[in-house]
Amino acid sequence: MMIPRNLTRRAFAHRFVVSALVAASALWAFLMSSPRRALAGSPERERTVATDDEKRKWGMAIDLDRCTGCGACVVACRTENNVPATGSAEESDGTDILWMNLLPLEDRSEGSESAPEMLPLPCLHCEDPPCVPVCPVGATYQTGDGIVAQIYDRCIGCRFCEVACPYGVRFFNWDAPEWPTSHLNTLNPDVATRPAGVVEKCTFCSHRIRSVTESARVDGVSLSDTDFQSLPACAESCPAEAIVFGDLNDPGSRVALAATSPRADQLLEHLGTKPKVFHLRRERRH
Amino acid sequence: MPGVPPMTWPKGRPHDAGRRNFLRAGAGVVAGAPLAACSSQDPYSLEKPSVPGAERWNLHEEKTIATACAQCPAGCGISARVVEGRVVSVRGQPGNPVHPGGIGPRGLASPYVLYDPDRIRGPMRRQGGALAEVSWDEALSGLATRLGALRSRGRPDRLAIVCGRERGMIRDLWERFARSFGTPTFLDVSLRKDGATASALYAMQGVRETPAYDWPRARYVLSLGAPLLEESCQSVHQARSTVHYRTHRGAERGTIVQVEPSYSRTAANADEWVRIAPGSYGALAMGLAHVLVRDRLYDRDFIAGRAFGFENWTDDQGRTHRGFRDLLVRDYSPERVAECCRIPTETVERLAAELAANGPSFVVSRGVGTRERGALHTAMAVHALNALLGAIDRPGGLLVQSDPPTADWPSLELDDLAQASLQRPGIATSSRPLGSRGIDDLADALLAQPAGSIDTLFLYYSNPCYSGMDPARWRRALARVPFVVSFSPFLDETTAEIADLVLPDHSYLERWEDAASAPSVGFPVQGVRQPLVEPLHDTRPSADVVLELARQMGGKVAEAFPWPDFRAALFERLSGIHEAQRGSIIEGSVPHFLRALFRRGFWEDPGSPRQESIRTPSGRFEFFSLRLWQGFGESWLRESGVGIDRELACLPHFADPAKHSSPDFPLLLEPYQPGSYAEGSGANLPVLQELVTEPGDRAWQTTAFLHPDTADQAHVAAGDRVRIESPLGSIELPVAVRAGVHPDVVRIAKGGGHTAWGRFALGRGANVMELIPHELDPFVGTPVLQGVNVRIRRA
Repeated sequence: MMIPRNLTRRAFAHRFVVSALVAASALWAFLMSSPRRALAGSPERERTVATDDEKRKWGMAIDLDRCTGCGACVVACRTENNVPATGSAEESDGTDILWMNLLPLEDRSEGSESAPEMLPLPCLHCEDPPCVPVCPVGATYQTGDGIVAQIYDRCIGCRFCEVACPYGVRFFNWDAPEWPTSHLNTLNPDVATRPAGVVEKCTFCSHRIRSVTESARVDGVSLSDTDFQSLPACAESCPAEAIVFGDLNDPGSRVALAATSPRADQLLEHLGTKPKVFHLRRERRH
Repeated sequence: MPGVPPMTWPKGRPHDAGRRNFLRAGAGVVAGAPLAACSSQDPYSLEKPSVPGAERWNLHEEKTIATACAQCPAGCGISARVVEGRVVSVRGQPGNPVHPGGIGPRGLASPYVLYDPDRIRGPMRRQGGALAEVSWDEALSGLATRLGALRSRGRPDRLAIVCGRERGMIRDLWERFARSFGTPTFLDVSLRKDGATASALYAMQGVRETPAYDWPRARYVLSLGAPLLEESCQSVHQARSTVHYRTHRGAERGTIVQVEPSYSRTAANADEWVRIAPGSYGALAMGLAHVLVRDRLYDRDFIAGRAFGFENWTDDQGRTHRGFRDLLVRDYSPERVAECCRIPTETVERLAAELAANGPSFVVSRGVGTRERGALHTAMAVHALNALLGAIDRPGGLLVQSDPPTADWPSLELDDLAQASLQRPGIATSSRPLGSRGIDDLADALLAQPAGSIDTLFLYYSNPCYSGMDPARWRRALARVPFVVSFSPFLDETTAEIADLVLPDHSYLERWEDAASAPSVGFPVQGVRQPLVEPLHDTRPSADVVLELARQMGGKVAEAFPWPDFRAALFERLSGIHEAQRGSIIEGSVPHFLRALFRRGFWEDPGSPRQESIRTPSGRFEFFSLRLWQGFGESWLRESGVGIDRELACLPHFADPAKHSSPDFPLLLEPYQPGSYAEGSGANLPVLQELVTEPGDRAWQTTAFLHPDTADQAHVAAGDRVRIESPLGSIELPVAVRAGVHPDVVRIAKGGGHTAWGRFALGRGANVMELIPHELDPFVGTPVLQGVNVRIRRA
């Protein structure tokens, strides 16, 4: 990223050295305000992002042995990420957007309790994402910490990425989002809404990751796996604790352990996309 | 870094300049983009509407406020994120013992309840057939005059109150009002949900409540059709506990076996699904009990030491009565039971052996399994089975939920008029053996008695013209009441079509309340609700309306409600928990205690001493229910037309439900509650309408699920529309074909087909209740929803 990191750091240090008064008042302001506020008020500080992010590799494990298919993750994702409802199948005509989807599996109900009926399916944030190289304008890319991100303002709506994705987790905005006026109150101010004509997708709730890591950095505390385990809205909401999030590069993290479980599957593994979302197979008595 | 394109952010990124500014600033950036320009409206310029009280919030200020969900009776604790005076989202309350952390889809939809664009904005009165706005003063003084007239005419019994909340202080408040006013007609909805299970517990154990199942310590659970993961009540707790039960104990993985005609969500998540013939749960329970007794696999210490009526017994008059063992041994051989349930005999033998070998184990049946004909005796058979397993009041079995030590309100003093009036029989009085009665008795009573027997009817959280059996019959019944008052915050069917006066309540995110939880963990838990934001509309908490009405009645009625508002009444009772000085919050003073309670959202006391769990006349667990023996009486049995031997009626047994099967209606209706929007009260929430949790189902619709063979016989395929006809009526729905559906049934979710309830609910799908004729179980009065005969034909 071309954020002028060094320049900003230098500028910050310069100011600190030149005036003890300024430093003292800055420190005072820093101590007196909440971390969130300090961040919001000071873009310079934010740009001195530690490079911790780039050592991390975010991943998710969805334990189908625990998942009951209740759909809490779907609703939580919608409310967190300002994804509007689109109406019935006829009304939406396939234009519905589900960053987290409950994918119905084929009807195997005759005596096969070992197969789940519904598969929670977010973006798998592949290590080798087929959607990224096809973008003609660089609107989709992989962040240093492994999130497949989308820059809405760059997207020209060609939908190459949507076609390239073998999992069907990228969604095109055929229309501008619409909410009844009073529902606008529920929009999450941390996540921008998307205009018509762009592709959108699951972000692993990157705004939450950023918020937590930045707050920790400002407060000077270090984060552990427990701070991340249920960080995305879907994981936070899950009544069955089926979704675990975390750093795959941290060998002791719950998600890394889950990823190495003999039950762990990567969807369409043979395509070589190397998904960072692992689905853990069911265990049943029979 | 490969793959990362160079980029520069526009000024005003989402996380530095004001978030709201970003929405606006972003608009400027995008306006130039050709595609955005094609769209007629500017999508980034979303300006949130103004809300009351927002001026007291700083820019970007946000708070996390603890409260409780009220989307279902479970009362899960939630933490709401409130930004600049707006409820943006909710999450599960961390540390809440009922459901640590997580929360279900309905709870997550809470903000949309608050901001439903079709909420009622203020009080309304019906004038010339339509509802018109009216001021609170006018509405309340008019109502008080009407109620005062009932009292001055000496007929306070002509007021009827239906309370749609089963538990909590708001229910107590309504009941207190009914008594002090002097009406014996106070009805609730508790029979509709788990009435049979609670009645079986009352008959055999003396506890009139559903049990708390101790999942964490059990090893094997057999569910007879219990919709553990679908039905809103405690589904979050169930999801949580079933999962922990199976995956948090290493090698000690617990087992869940679901017995049910169709492959429900609970079945899909069980270790084993046993398909059983519709309406035969009771037979299986008796068959399992038979095997346990035959093979001497039952808890002999419990039976010998704490049970009554297992063996034949002799009463004071020297008459010998039949015991449970005798009944079991003679009539319920595994072969007979297996034939009735249409399962292999080995399955009966195996399930019984597994229950005995994998203790602690228990059997759970509620919901669907106990909404058939003969529900009481099915529930009693299951409870007897639990007793044989020694699961009564034992870790890993069935516990009795303890109540928190709240203080009592001052004892109620009735005036002479109320005392006299309460002696009157009142409408909808129950002659049932256990004295149970509920909202569904009201329709019968109104139709049987002369119009005007009830002059004024209060409907609090109740929409019988949608959720009752045979909604058209409810409309006819309610038309016989001159004045119906609805307290609903939403324009539901009954409010829109029937109510003469609408006094809208606050939504549950705007009011002070206790949050009584359905039985779950066993030990006492007290949750609370508090306003997250200022009321959006000109609504008033119904509890305060009750206080105001009482005040206007004057005299002893007013004296019974000495509080300025409900919050004071609430705090008075909550202070009892402080006095007890135990549990998770111990503070020096009541204000400190309340502050801590409302900050945390709940109080719990896991170490609380357990209450006596067997409260029967004999002091023992009664296989032969003495309460039923006294309650039945020969005359009741004769008058009610229930063709059953009095002695048999007191014992758990299986009475093959007469299926009234006719060649005209060869299939059975299987209504079920989808996890997402329950019996229909969540249909105004678009996020739930759009949630599909079952293969074959579609968003914003109701679907008729058929077995492939059934579909073939009717010459329909998936996606076709069929007309489903019952002797009562017919509805038209699209078909989905699933092998998991029982071949004899048509499986239809409740919750569709609203004719009111706001723009999102209106006209989506069809209401399955329109197929279900009014029928109540004669013993307890639970609605008989399962087993209605239907037929299908291509539409």
